[in-house]
Amino acid sequence: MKITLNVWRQSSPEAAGSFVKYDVDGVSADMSMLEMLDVLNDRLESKGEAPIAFDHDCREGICGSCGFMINGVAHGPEKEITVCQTHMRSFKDGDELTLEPWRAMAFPVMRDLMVDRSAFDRIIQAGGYVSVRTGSAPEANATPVMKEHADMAFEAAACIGCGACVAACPNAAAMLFTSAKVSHLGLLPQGEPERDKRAIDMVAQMDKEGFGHCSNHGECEAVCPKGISVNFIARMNRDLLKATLRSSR
Amino acid sequence: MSWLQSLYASTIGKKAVMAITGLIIFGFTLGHMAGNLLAFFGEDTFNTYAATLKGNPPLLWGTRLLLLTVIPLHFLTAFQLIKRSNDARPATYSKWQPQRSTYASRTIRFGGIYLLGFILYHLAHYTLFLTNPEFGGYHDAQGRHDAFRMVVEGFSNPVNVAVYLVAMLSLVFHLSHGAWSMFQSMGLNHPKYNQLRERAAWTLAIVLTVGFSSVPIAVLTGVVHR
Ligand code: HEM
Ligand code: FES
Repeated sequence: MKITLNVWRQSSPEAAGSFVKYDVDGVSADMSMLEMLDVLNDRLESKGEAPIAFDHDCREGICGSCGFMINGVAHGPEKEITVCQTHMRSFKDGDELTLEPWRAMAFPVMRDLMVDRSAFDRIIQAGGYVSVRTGSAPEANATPVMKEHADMAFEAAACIGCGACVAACPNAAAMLFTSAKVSHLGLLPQGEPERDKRAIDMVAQMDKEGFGHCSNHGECEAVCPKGISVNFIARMNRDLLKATLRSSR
Repeated sequence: MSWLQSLYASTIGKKAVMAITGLIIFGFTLGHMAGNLLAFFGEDTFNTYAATLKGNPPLLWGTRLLLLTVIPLHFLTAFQLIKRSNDARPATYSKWQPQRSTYASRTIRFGGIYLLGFILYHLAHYTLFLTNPEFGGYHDAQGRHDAFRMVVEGFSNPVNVAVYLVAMLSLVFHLSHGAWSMFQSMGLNHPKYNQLRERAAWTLAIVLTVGFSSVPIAVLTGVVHR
């Protein structure tokens, strides 16, 4: 296949970027999006040009490193999949694809398609610790967990922190990410003692990082590679409002 | 900072303010719409209704004070949130394809700005009589303020009717999203009731808009006349 790419090129965080057009011949339908970029990068390097920078690690859709916009959709056209698991069979010969980095004040572009997502790390850090008993392993069934809550906590814990929710949100809000992180511990008995504090602190950090607010558009849920539901956003709103009303602070 | 200030400083706290103030305005508009429909029962019924409201200062001023608090709070918070989210995305995408958001959700802020302008015009028109000073001097046979004549004359002007109808169209979109979004903002979400939330929002938004629009249309088409 032949694919035409419009790629955002930006040499450093301070530099002004622009789109550059590349024609890529000999693309196989079995290549992933990132493998196609590897091929293009080899060709660019052999011509002495700078390769296109993009984040990646596992290339199996589980680490959350990769991600950029393909034709205006975070992680591209396929549902519940990351860019590394998007294959060229999703496109046709002759297609023109625009590749653009996540855009948010809190996610500065480092280079080309790569953004700095350490704001997410700071939100997680703001969540603090959970008071679990350390030492010898406890008896597995000592702490009963409601099946529905275990399932929901698991769904929330599936968040890989890729940032697609922020990228897709018209307000660049980090509500889906933060709500998944708040909920996956908040739903379990192990996370209960710090539940209120965690909600307050993580939301405060989220706001401090400069993310937007939630208008309940639902764009985040639609692009989330893990299919995390906006129901978690409502749960976080509830947790935060309750925590603010009843906490000693 | 007190807990209330820090709650208002947070985006989630601001959304709770949007939801609660939105709900109060929504409740008021439902009552207002029901009252307007009395115009179909003729001059006497309508003027009796108007006089009853005016003759009950605690109700009248209680409602006015509530709305004078809640409406400014709703739009000031809206402006703060919009500013915040504009700042959160300084560089926009060259291309962006909506996946799940609706026309109503994406235009809620523009509809809101129109509604703000409309509310000011509406007050100047029928409450303060700034646009039509003669409205204040209308009295019916029993010496009461002739609100019915005011409404009939006001809506005999097609431009006026257009301004009102566009406002009602904005309202249907504002509420078809807002009236379920407010549940989400307050954390009221349950798989058993989520679908009901959205259906109720659309239904009530349409009932409101049809109800409100029926009076100006009825006057313009001569169904309601003096
Ligand atoms: C005064 C003019 C108005 C302005 C400027 C305005 C603005 C807005 C904006 C921008 C939002 C969305 C906030 C977001 O991004 O999430 C919103 C939501 C809402 N508005 Fe308004 N609005 C106005 C009038 C009204 C009226 C007349 C009603 C009811 C009849 C109403 C009810 C609501 C409701 C229920 C919501 C949903 C709140 C939520 O998402 O939690 N608004 N408004
Ligand atoms: S590279 Fe790990 S999820 Fe894509």
